[in-house]
This record gives sequence, C-alpha cells and structure tokens, in this order.
Amino acid sequence: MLFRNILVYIDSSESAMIAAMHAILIAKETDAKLTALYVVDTKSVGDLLKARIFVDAEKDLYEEDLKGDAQRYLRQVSRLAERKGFEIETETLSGSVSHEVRDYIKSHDVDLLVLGGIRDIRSRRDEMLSESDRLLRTASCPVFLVRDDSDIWESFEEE
Amino acid sequence: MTLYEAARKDLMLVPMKAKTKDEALEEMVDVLCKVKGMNHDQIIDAIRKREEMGSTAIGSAVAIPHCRTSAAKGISVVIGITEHLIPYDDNEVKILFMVVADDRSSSSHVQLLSSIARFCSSSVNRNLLASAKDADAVFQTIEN
Repeated sequence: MLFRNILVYIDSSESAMIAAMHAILIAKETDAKLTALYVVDTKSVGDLLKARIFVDAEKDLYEEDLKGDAQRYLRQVSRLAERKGFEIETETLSGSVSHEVRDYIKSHDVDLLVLGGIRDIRSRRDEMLSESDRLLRTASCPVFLVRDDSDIWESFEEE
Repeated sequence: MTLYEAARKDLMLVPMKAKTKDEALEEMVDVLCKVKGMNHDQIIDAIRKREEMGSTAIGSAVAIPHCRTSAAKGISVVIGITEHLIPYDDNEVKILFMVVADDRSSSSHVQLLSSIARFCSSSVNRNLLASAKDADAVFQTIEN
C-alpha cells in the first residue's frame, strides 16, 4: 500500500475544497484512510485581542463563528467524499494551525499531507507567513501540493 | 486573505483630508461605498458601533477600525494616511486601515486583520507608510 493514512488540511477557502478532491481521489485509488482536519485558528484571534484590535466580546463571537465555519467546510468535504462513494473522517482542532497540524501528523502516523492554497508568489512577506507555506516547510511527512488553478472538477466528476 | 491580496489603490487615501477621528471614519467609508457600491449609513453605523465597544487605535500611530455587517459586499480594506497626527480617542494616529467584511467572512476577516497586525508590527513598514506621498508608494510598501 503506497499510503495508509492521508490527511487533508481544510480551511475556509475554495483552495481547500480543491485539495480535498485531490485527496479523495488519491485515497480511493490507494485504498488509504483519509482524514479532513480543520483547525479553528484561536491563536490568531487571541493575538488580535493581545494587539488590542479585538475586544473580549469580539473574540468570543469570532471564535464561535470560526467553529461554525469548520463544521460547514468539513460537511462539504464529507459530501464530496460521499459523491465518490468513499468514507472519510473529519476532525476539528483549535489553536495555532501549523502547530496543531504538525502534532496531528506525528500522533496519528500520517504518511501523506495534502495541502491547497499554493499560489504564485505575490507578496513575499505574506507567502512566508501563510499557514500552507509553514506546513509545507515543516511537516514531518511527504506533502502533496495542490495549486489553486488545478483543473480537478472534470476528473472528479468523470471517475 | 492577506493585506496584499486585499489592498487596492482605489481604496487608498493618501493624504487624507480628515483632521479628527470622526472625519477620518467618514472619509474612509465614503470612498469604500463609492467604489464598492455599499450603503454609507449602514457601514458607518457598523463602524461606529464597533468603536463604542472600545477604541481601535493600537498604538504606534496606527488604528484599525473594522466591522462585520450584512451591508458589506465581501471583504475590503481602505488604507488612509493622514498628513499629520490626528486625535483618535486617547491616542494620536497617522495610519488607518479600515476593514469591512460581510457577516459570512469570519475566517477571511481574522486572516486579514492578522496580516495587517503583522505588517504594522514592523517600525520600518510604519515609517514607510507614514511618509508615503501617494497610493503607489503605499502599495509598493505592502508588496515588498
């Protein structure tokens, strides 16, 4: 078996859905287990509070909304998998995105991480600080990168 | 969404005409609503409601007024640089980032505010913005 335990990192973006479709096809093809992981970025919300950009009431409100986003996007991924007749697991964690994903990879023996959100380099400062970029550089397992312009819809529907 | 992805030259006011906090917020909402076709009164109300919860001046002459409202279209950032320091609650500011998001953009809103916070944590960036003479100079600072 080429891969046994695949993880796809999901955030609130179209890129994550494209990555999820690739991950579903790879997992189905290789008969691997697939988990979709969403990390509610409470670290950034906490940092915004520390920087006095958020007030306490806002912090709570945003965290609740982000949890709602997590459920919504993971439901979408589950529906995509169902369309392919494939069963996946979903998981929601909270904290620093790159930290939580790295820990999950280690503690669950993940042997492939599927990442979306890789675009052409625009602002170098932002590129260096993006969560996908951090994960790409620091994940302890092989990483499958999916470009935003990936033409997956057609092959996803076809197969 | 990052600051670079959100920044648009037609949403930059350099220099701003405003001499007070209220004038600055009005000026920024004006340009946003003209460019993006939003309802001025609804946006300024949402911005003022957020200011009532606590000042959005964060020190180092920077303020980040922001709001989420169903009156917004997507997520936008208006960048304003005043000619001189202007009074802003208990602070004085020269650099303003106004972030207005619709009520379905929590994640992008947090990402954009975080991106602005990281950008403003650099004194070099703040100095370059404070001395910017036009939108091109602001955009170049964000881009590099």
